[in-house]
Amino acid sequence: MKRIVRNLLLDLLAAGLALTVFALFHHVLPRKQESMNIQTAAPAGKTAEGNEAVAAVPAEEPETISGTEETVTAAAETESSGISADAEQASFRPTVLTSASAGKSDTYSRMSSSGKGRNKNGKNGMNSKGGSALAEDSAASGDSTETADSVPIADKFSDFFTDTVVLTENSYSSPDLSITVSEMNEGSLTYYVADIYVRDITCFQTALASDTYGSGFRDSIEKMAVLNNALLAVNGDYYGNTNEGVVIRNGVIYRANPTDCDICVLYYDGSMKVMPGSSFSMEEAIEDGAWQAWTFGPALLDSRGEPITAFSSTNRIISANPRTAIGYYEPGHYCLVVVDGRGESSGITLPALSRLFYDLGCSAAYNLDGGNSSIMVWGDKVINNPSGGGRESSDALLLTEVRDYE
Amino acid sequence: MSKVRGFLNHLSTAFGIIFLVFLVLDQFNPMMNFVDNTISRWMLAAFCFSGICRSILSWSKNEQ
Repeated sequence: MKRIVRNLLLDLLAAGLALTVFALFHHVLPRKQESMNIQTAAPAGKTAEGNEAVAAVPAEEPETISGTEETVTAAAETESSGISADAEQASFRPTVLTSASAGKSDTYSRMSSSGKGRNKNGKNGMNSKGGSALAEDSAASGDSTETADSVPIADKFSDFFTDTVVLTENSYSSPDLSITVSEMNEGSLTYYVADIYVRDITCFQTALASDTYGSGFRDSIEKMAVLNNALLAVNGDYYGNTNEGVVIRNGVIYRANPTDCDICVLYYDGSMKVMPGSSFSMEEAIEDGAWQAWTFGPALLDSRGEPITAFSSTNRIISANPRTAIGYYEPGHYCLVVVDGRGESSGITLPALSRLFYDLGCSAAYNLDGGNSSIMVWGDKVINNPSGGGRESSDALLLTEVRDYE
Repeated sequence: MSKVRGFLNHLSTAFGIIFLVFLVLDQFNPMMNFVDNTISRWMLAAFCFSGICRSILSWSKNEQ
């Protein structure tokens, strides 16, 4: 008996040591990784006519992919895709985004007129969809190809932009950007909603901890916000926790290993799509002009913009927790929501978060890293109450100015 | 041979503990991908290999 106990203790010790070494290599020790070095660009047809494209437009003639004449460019030669260009010489130019369609405009008016609640055509009885709802028609939500009757966002959202910078305690507006942050208290629930309008999609950026792509790099959201002159910042998808998933940041494709997790893609034309991992194609992402892509999820609204009531995950994940999520109304109009939890605020379940985005009027919404990671920074201050004091993250979503204003 | 058998016993037990820990962690945070990453897959292969070897040695011992 003594021998068995001794052997078991020995094995426990060995397992502990192995786990420690595993953890060190898996995500503790900073390890710089190679990106795919592919710089995406806005396809010519996805921007308003006469407007310059928000894109990394190389100074040299870009090469094309698979014979298409789209302006797909790359930062460096990659043997796998045969894409080449020079990202170092890329120059960013601001654009005027276009809204997608009349249908999306309806979403905007619904939100702006009533603030909360659905429009009269809202189909509240047609929900109860599971996570597979996206698989049925992944392109329906925030389809970036709908540009037929587009209206320049500069005109559409002109009420939200200002000629000069106007900063108040909870809002900011400039010619390119408008942000309004609201603290909401509903019973035992506290959450923060940042209502965002951008004229120039390059204002919607992501930051990497230590400005380096890899695993084990972590910074506080405040630090990333300050270093990048962010007006608003929230935590991202904590891409550094795993080597799987799709990572596109500020137009650079770092990783394209889709998993079964839903993927959220924000395009140069301002549209946002949430799709199952199985539907993601890097070639399509490049062709459509992916500006950002996150892998966490799940999708919080189905392909028709209806709330999801059944999520295929463990109870622990679905239950009330602090959350961070991004919502999409139409090109140029987004919201970021951070929900406090595990304290005075109870946190929110995934179905309730889905309902929240539905009530906000979003047509697509996507869950990002939550728990202790859920942090919202306004200026250089954390405005929510992060669970456990918050934790450092490998990336952050930022709203920042790309042009200098007095 | 008994030393090899003993080593395989330890190996299997340690890997068993490790994978139990992975499964528990996976319940808390599946996004960290403890179960299905490259290192885990190699460890799983080693776990299987040690288990099979142990069984073969055990059977051969029983034969004797």
